[in-house]
Amino acid sequence: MEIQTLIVIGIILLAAVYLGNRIYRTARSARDGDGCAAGCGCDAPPARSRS
Amino acid sequence: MIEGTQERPSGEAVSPPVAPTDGAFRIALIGNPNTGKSTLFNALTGLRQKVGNYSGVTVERVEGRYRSDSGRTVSVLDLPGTYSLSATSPDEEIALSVLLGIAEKTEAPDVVVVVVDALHLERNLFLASQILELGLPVVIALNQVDAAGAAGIRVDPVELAMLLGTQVVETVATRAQGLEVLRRAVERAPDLPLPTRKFSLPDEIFSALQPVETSLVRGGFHPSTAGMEALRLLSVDPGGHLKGISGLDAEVERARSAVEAAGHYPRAVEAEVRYGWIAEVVDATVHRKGTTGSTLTDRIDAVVLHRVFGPLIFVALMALVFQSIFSWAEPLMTAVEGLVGAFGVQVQALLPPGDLRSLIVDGVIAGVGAVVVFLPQIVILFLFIGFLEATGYMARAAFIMDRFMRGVGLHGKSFIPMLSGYACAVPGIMAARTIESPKDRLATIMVVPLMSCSARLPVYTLLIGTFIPPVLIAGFLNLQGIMLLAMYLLGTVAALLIAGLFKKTLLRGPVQPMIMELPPYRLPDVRSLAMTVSQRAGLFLKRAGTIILALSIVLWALVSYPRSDVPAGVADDVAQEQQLANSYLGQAGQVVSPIFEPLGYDWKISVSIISSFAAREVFVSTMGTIYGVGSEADETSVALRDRLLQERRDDGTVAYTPLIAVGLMVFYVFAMMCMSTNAVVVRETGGGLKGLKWAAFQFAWMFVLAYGAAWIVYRAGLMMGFAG
Repeated sequence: MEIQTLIVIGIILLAAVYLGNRIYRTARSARDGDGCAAGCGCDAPPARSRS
Repeated sequence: MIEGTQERPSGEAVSPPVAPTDGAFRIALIGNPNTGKSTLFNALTGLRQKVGNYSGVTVERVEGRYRSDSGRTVSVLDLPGTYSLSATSPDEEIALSVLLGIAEKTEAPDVVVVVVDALHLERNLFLASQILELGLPVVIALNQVDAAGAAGIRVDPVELAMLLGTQVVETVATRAQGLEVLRRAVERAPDLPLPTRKFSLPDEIFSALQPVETSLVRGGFHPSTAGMEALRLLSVDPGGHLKGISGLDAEVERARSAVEAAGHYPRAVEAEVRYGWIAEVVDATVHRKGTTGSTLTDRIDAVVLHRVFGPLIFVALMALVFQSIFSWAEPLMTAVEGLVGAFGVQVQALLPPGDLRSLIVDGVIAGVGAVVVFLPQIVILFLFIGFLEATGYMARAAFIMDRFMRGVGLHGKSFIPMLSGYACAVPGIMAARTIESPKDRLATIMVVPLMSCSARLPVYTLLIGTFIPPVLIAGFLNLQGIMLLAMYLLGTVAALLIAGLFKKTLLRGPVQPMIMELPPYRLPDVRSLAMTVSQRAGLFLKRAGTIILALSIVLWALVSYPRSDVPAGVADDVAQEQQLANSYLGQAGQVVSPIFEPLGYDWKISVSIISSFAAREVFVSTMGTIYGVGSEADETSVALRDRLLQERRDDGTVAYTPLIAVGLMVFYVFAMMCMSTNAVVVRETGGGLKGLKWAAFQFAWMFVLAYGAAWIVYRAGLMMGFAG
């Protein structure tokens, strides 16, 4: 197998593992987390409230 | 001491007063948030503090002690900061039950110290006026007199004491000034006449409330407390400590009807009469140096919060924001497109032909690049939002929206989560935790995802920029900006209407009043504004560099394999189309496309919708990858807009039309295409099976709504003669 093909397979596997992990973390956050693992929960500060 | 003078409520739902068990003299500190109450508490008690929770609730209970000059042990309870005794939130309910002596495991206070901010006397006196009617000894701590003095405000403490009928002590808690005088006033308070209501009610309201007061006195309330409770009950429903009093609900309903028949709005009566009296007190006691009494903020608010002009200014400002997103961002967007395209060409020249080059150029650069080109729009959107927040306008927007929110039965506090939803539904849903009523909170969570989040912006701007012509309406309004505003308004109006529907059916409950503080207008701090915008831009780029990058790679693989055997001599574009159709993604597209066919979508849009469940902007990157693989890279490799315009069906007709684009945008306004939001909804609606049910219900109704609305738009457009 060519080296280029091996690199491509490696990149695809890495991306797939990352996505799988992301989905797992999201599902876990729904079960017992605080919502932070889910997407922009912790990164995105909510609009400041002055009420 | 007050024993023997204060009757406590008795009966089924209320327990008799609990005598102090350790002989300590008890005082309760109460005041609006940010009055320096806790600083005063710390100054009075030093380090002798105990922190816990009130029985059964998660409201913090802070208690401390000090020894008085007479050698007496004084126990100080720091009650939660509150604007009123409306008892609509757990904090207010706790404060009221402690003052009434009915809080579990908390003894009644001998004296109440009301901490009043001298800078904001008018607002602070609302709570004070309620407490003065509880039939308890009261001392007013007029705090922050130094800050008031610096602002040219002097409050006459002697005149104030005369008008309130109780002792007033000037304090500066931050410098421990006035503490000795305050301690002596507290010791003296039980020996002085109890304060009472200092204003009289209009005759018709007084008569209407008499039966309610009688019921309350029969239920064990002191006549003065009963008067305060009866007036309060015009705006809030009898609950909590009043539940055991028979016939009270009916009496309250009759009183409200009588008040309404006399031409008053029952829920506003208490605020009107109390603030009417407070205005007189403020006139007589507050002296301003070098000010006319009407500040610049007051003058601006007279227009911005006007019943008619206020909402018009709000819509005009929003229109300006969306106009700017198109007119300002276009040159920047074209520049970013050019940069990404040139980068793709450079990479293509560097790498040898093959799968690796295709993966990087057609997958990564086309997919991620298609999303990154929308960075200018994101920056402009958050620049405006940050500016409006920093100037103090957003608080006014919440105030203006409160009228509409109440119209549909939602609490005004729901506006803050909904406002956050414009950025991202996840923090918006988490912000709904501040809403006291579980039903209001659930109704808010159900509709927050309808607010158009920043992830929808790339979808809207791709479709509007491609299919809606940039023509001017009335000479100055860009049709593209109007279309974008329409999408945001559609989501917002739908959120309000659907929340109203929930509040009238599944989540029926009373409308709660809202008190909010409007900060003075000020010029925004450029550095903090820049920080807010850069945080948002960073977050957008981070998502592009992680989840969108990973998805672009996986989608490239799905669209590139298996390889099609194309006979020699077949034209390139036909060969590429054949490759797309036979790929794993193409095959999956053929399976799901019948679902979306009635909306006019082909398999490419269908799979892009499915993949955007990961995040809405993935729709754009998926289209970018599909068209990246389906063509040769050139200077405009990531100009997805051109590709969409050039796309043809088998019969040679245009594949994507403005009608399909509008239908697709409407679909995205309503559809819950975001796994992160789903996860947070599960968690915030109780977790486990219960949370799952709510999240599944939300996903289902939103999908049905999205599909139905897109179908109506498409079919109506066809009937009107638009090309489908």
